[in-house]
Amino acid sequence: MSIISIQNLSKRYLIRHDIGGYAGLRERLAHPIKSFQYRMKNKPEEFWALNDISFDIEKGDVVGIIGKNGSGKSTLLKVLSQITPPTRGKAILRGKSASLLEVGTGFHPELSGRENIYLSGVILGMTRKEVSEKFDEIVAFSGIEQFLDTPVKYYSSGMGVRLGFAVAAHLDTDILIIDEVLAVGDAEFQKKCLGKMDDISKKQGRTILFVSHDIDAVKNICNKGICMKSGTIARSGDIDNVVDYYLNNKDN
Amino acid sequence: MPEIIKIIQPKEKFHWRDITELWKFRELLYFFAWRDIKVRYKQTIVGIGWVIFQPFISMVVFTVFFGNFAKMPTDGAPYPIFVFIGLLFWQFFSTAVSDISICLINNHHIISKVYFPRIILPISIIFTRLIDLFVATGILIILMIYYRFMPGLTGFLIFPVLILISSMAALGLGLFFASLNVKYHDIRFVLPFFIQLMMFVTPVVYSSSILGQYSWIMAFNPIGGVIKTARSEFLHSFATNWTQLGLSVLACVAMFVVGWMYFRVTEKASVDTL
Repeated sequence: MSIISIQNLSKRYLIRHDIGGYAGLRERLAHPIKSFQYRMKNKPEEFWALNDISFDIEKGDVVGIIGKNGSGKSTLLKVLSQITPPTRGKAILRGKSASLLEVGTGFHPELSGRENIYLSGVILGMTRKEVSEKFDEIVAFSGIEQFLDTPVKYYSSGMGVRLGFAVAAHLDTDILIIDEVLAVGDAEFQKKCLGKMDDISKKQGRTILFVSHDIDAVKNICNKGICMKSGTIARSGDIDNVVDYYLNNKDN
Repeated sequence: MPEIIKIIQPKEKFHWRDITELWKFRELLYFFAWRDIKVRYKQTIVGIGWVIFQPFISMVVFTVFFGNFAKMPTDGAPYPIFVFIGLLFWQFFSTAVSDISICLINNHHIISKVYFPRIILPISIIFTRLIDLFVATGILIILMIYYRFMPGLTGFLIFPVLILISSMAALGLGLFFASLNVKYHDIRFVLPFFIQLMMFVTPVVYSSSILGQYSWIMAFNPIGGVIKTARSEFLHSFATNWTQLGLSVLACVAMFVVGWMYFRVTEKASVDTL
């Protein structure tokens, strides 16, 4: 059975054009009739960010999702992460899943590195016990031992990214959903992260969904690929085929 | 392999799973409360002193003006104790409501990146504010000792019930405003004014007995009913009107249900609209 099966998934966004482009109760109360007429005349515009998408992902696959900006990649990840509900269709995830849509999710600048490791870990779905068990590993991976008790607001952006990724890399889940988080951080650390992701999928047999614009990175670590185009799947299958398709069709 | 199957589909109607799910996220609830408490004490210079300072200074100011100059009737207790019982619940209620009303906006960076039942945030705020309430209760006890005032011991028995009622009322009203805030971004500018107005229709600085035969109206303001009951039990100057407390409970349950239902409708859209 596929670990992820997605059936006819669609997501619609309604784009409202409110008076002044700003939704205020003041406008509604001050001009109730005008505002009502306006809303009746200007029906919100529909935008299908995902349009009837279906595919299956097998256990242990590392799937790279590529496509131009606005093709629906991030919306797909948001729906699979349960951040926003789909409008139609469904997705079935068989296993524990975690999403990494941002490095350092839930970090609070006033709290220390140590405190943020716990906070971010728990927000990403770990239990407190799991964080404690992996604490030393996380710290070692991030390489910020000396600054563990410094508030994160004094960290350089690179240090923040390191710590954030270190927490996320130790998530113990069957499915990991990752948005372009590697676009940040220096080349050396990027390599380390890619290595870690490779490690996770190969040795531990986890399934990874990975969105990136970095074609080389995608080619390196993914074995399957999905190329998206205006909310639909343009091509899916082996990563090399999909990347070739993407590069050939990039300009139109 | 123990299968965890997650099915993602368009949000259906209420399901019991929504409630049992909260238990799974109890650690997150704890960490949100822990974060808010930590950050609050790191940001203010006075730190933990603020929790003591705020109700204490309010009490002093109210005592000077309403107790000494205006000579408000206090149902027979020293004015500081009388007003402090009101302030205890009022400050818990008002700070919780205003914190909850902006919690979706304040935590937007987390909500837009990770899934968890959104109601965890408002509930964690209730717990954060409960800590302030317990500290303030300590001050109340010190005040009673200072004035050698022997409170009605039944007050302490009914205290947890009153806290529960105020928490539910704060959660209900807070959820309602949080949802409105998602839809209309200008609500947060009106809210402080609304809360201030609410303080005047709540017997915080005055006794509900000044309303005479109309004092039953106060029952429909849950927090007013709570303060009235707390005073009648602690100050044992008049008998508790259980019917009125029952009305307050009904009013608070109604507030909670309405706020929660509205929140459920807007929470799924909150990421898309904020």
